[in-house]
Amino acid sequence: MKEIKILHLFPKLLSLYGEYGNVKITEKYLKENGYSVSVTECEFPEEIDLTEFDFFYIGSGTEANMIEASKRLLPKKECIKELVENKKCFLVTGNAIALFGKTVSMNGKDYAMLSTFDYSTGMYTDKRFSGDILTNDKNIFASKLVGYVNTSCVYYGIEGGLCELLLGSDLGNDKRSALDGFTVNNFFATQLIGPFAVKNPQAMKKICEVITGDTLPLDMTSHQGLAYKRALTALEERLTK
Amino acid sequence: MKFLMILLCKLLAFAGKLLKRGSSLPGQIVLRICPDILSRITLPEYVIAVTGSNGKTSTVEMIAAVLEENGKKVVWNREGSNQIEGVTTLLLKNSTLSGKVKGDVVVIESDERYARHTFKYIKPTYFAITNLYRDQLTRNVHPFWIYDIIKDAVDLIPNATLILNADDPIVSKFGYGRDRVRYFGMAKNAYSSDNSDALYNDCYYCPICKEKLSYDYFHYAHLGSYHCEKCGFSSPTSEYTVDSMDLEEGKISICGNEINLAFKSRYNVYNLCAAFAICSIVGIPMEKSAASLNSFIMKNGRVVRFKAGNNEGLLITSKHENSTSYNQSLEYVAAVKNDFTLAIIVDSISRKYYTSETSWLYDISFEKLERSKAKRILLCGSYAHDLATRFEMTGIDQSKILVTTDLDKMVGEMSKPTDDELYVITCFSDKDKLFNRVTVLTPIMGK
Repeated sequence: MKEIKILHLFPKLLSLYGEYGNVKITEKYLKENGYSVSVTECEFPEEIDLTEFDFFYIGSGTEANMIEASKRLLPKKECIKELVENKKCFLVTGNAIALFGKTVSMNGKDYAMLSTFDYSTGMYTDKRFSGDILTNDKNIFASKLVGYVNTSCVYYGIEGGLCELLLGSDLGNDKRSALDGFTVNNFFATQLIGPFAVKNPQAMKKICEVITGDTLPLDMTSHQGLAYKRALTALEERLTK
Repeated sequence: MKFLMILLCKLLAFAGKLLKRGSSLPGQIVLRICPDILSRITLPEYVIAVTGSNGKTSTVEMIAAVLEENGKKVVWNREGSNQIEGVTTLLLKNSTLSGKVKGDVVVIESDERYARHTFKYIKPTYFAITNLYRDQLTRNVHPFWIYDIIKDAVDLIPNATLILNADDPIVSKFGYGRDRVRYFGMAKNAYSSDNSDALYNDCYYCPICKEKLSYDYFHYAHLGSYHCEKCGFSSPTSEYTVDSMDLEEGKISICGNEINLAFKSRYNVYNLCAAFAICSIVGIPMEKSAASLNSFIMKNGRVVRFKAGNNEGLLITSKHENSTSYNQSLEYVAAVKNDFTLAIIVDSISRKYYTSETSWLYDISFEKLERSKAKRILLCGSYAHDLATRFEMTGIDQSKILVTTDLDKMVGEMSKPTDDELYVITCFSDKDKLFNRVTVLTPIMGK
């Protein structure tokens, strides 16, 4: 039985909106499909060998905690870049996107981030961008994505996007365009918060296929599938109003 | 101008009462004409504002009841309109035409996001902050975001005394380095534990220096006794303390004064203690406050008995989008000693807005039910499948779970003959959907 090793980075420091659900659903789905899965939770990445893992997950945090997370990750900057280049699978949700750019500017101060990618982040402490999200299905998951954005971040210089926002179209990366997140190799980043992979079963499936290299089945009559349909129907109705 | 505005507000409030319109409208109109009207009125010696994520309404209600029972004339927003418009209506409606508020004490329930606007015009002499939890992330973002917003309000009232929950490190941070602070809290008791009952801890790291915060014990969520090894931030000593608690008997003691609980749960105890502290500060003798708070029944309809078929049930109202509120309801149900059926209803997340946002379900410790006497769990409402997906991540025996989006079917299941006890957990936004389908009986803590 193939063993899949999942690393949940900062489950305590960056854990604002039930993000652990992404790890739980990935673990459950992989196990249901016959894989042996181990999950490691890590608050101090310097202490572990990142190359051991097949899948990396990082979620949202408070503005101050995001800066703290960047300090803890910086010693692993080169290693993370190599992992991304070597097509290891990452899922990054919410404002954790900021960690992988060049800098975060907050309250007139610039903080160095990992520079895995060539964008920068403006992080407000008095302004918020939030709302329900519905995307079209022209994305790597071939699925309309549902969820919620709640962020103080504006990203500058992200090329392309993971998906295009139909509902919440002013909540894209730069808060002007409708493009959300991005994907490079097997690195998936979205501003959508919380249990993104739970809410979007096709995204969960695709990510697990990338992790395993196998084609996997998906039952859309499951509770997860029916919950997705409920959200999709409600958000599509809202879009047409 | 002041005279005219007060007169206008009184007339509008009277008309609103006749037309059964909201209590904030007169204030809204007056503020449009005269934005600084609140700074033109004369307030009594005690102006108490209460804010926090959970329990504002309950705390204000208890303070008002104790003060009134002990001879004080209290001006308070019993309709719970807690934004500036509601506060304006309240104060002008209760003023003389010359602008003097007719009362010994003003008690204001203050929305945590709006206190910084209200306090520009009205300066409370006491500002109580009960707790800061994850609550309605769609509007409140996260507790530290709200901390910063309340901090703006605190900075507007340097002469006010803060009345803070010592056991909540986010709240006690408001008192860090400030002189005029009084604390209330809870001593270690039989219900304290080494680990938090929550799936997350918003204060896992010190709110001052980000080093890991050490806890001697937790009460629940991130509340407990804490200290930081690095910067020295720690639980302040509380002046008004719940020094014992016995939920079997339904008794607590605050500063040696015994109080019976109307509902044998921890979920109102901090609010009781906050009310006790505030009333003591206003000058009510402790034993008199305790007597007034004894078996206090609130009017906000939190806990209500009902009948489905021949089965008597108990509704415990919780707040959607607020995991601490849910956890406390689940704690009560999980401690039930007999077999029971539990229905959880999530049909509308909010009465005020639509959202598909369900992340908060992943912050609730439904795992508390794993070792409970639950024989059946009904997951109901339009979000039933979202609930069921979350429950699949728990260790709860899935064969006990029935999932239905149909509330009539849910009531049909609840009405089947059984010896099991029956409980329902839902939010104010969904409560009436249950009440429309069952017979409402005598309330325990409600109308």
